[in-house]
Amino acid sequence: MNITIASPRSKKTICEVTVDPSSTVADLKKKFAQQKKVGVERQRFSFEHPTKGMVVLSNDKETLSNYGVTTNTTVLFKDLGMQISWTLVFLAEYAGPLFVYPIFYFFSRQIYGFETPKTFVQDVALICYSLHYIKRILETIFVHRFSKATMPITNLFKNCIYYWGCTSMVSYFVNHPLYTPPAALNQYIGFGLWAFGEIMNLVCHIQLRNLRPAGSNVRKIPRGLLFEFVSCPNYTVEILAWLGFSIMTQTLTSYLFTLLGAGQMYIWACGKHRNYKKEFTGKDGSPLYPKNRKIIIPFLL
Amino acid sequence: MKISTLYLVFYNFVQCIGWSYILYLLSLHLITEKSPVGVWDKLGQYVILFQGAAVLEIIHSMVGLVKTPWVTTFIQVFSRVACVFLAYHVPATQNHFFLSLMLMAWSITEVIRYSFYGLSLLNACPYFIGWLRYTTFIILYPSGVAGETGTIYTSLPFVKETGLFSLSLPNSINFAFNFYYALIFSFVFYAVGLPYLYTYMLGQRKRFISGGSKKPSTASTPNKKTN
Repeated sequence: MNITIASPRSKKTICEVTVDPSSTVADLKKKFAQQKKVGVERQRFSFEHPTKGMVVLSNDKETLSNYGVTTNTTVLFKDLGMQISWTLVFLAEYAGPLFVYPIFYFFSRQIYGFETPKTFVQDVALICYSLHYIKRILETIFVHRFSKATMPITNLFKNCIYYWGCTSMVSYFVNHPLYTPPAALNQYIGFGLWAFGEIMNLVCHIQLRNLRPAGSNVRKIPRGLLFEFVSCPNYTVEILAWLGFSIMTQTLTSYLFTLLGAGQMYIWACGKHRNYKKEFTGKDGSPLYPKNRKIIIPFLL
Repeated sequence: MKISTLYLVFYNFVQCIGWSYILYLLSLHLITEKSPVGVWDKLGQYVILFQGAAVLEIIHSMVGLVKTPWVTTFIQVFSRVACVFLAYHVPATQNHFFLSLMLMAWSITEVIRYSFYGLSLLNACPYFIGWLRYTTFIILYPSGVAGETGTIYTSLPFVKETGLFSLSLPNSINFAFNFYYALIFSFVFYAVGLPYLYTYMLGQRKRFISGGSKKPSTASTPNKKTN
């Protein structure tokens, strides 16, 4: 069958592609890549379904006929821009903090012009901050199974500026020679929260990994432990860990970093929660997503 | 008419009246006294009131009453509130020529701008008000920036000496802020922002002049998507 490929804004025809009715979205992408020399990863197709409205051909393994694409359909093509692998972006953004944070700890004289003996909580903070990013790098390599291989390359710059910048703002004040440590009780509570958050974060990541068989991009309903309460407990406990770090060090910039991160994670969690509900409707053989499961805060939000 | 539109018309009307009054007092003072001395004493309280109320505009765009991105509104309102803050705290700025220049540019701009928004909401905006909105900025915008940066510059010695709005270590929240350097750094923002906004407004002006029907997006027209 013949499919017309058009651009989404102007509706101008880009080209015509001849495919088998039984061919998959991946086949269409390959054909289009041959004709227009646009890499498969950059392509995103959608079309106006007669009854369902705009449908995105998001699953590469699904056949075109199952999506409802017929010979008269005009399929819209969006160029997602230059792509870069998730793993690479994660490694670059996490390596930054691991490198930037200790600079302020070790080069006090050069940065602040003078030096005072480090307090115990400053030593612990250095270890905590570094451990978090070492954990994130190890998770990226050994635990995470990404559903998509790539993301737009602009994310690399955005994420690196965010992580590197925030780390400098936090580290500058935590390692300042005129730093004032909080009361011992705050330090213990903060450290406890941090440790709990980090361990539970790892547990959540392992649970997510076990949902998805190696080499696939299968999506299932996560079950067990914190997942029974919220859709994204990995974010909940990561926010707790940063809150713990902020309480332990009692630094304004650390609280701001926590708030910024929490806001971003809340936005991501809303998206994931919505997708889960959309995908697991309880109809046509798909399981029903648990109705009382919240987004990010158990019982509340 | 929807409640939200009614509210916006009311808001723009009040602001228009407020800035008209400021413009009247300022003109009267400059004509009779022929000097910027005493300007702040006479009308500072009204500037604080109506420029302070403009903080509502950030909320308007945050909740989707208007379609301007809230970050844009935030930057605009924030820089002005900072200048008002300086004028309030730093005596050296209060009788200075730069402050009068700043307030003159602001008040003329605002009277035109709020009339334009208010009347556009009622679909009753005469062409010449639109024309003024997209023409007067050619002179008023650089004048306003000159007045604002001049006011900031005038305030620098005082801020440095007194440590106004600054925080130094050690303190219990482990944070330090140097307002003096922040003010110096703000000149960079003005240097980048002026040409950017100026060319943007020139583009808007072109659109306004060329097509009466396709009117440029305005900061206070209701957002069709969310309303």
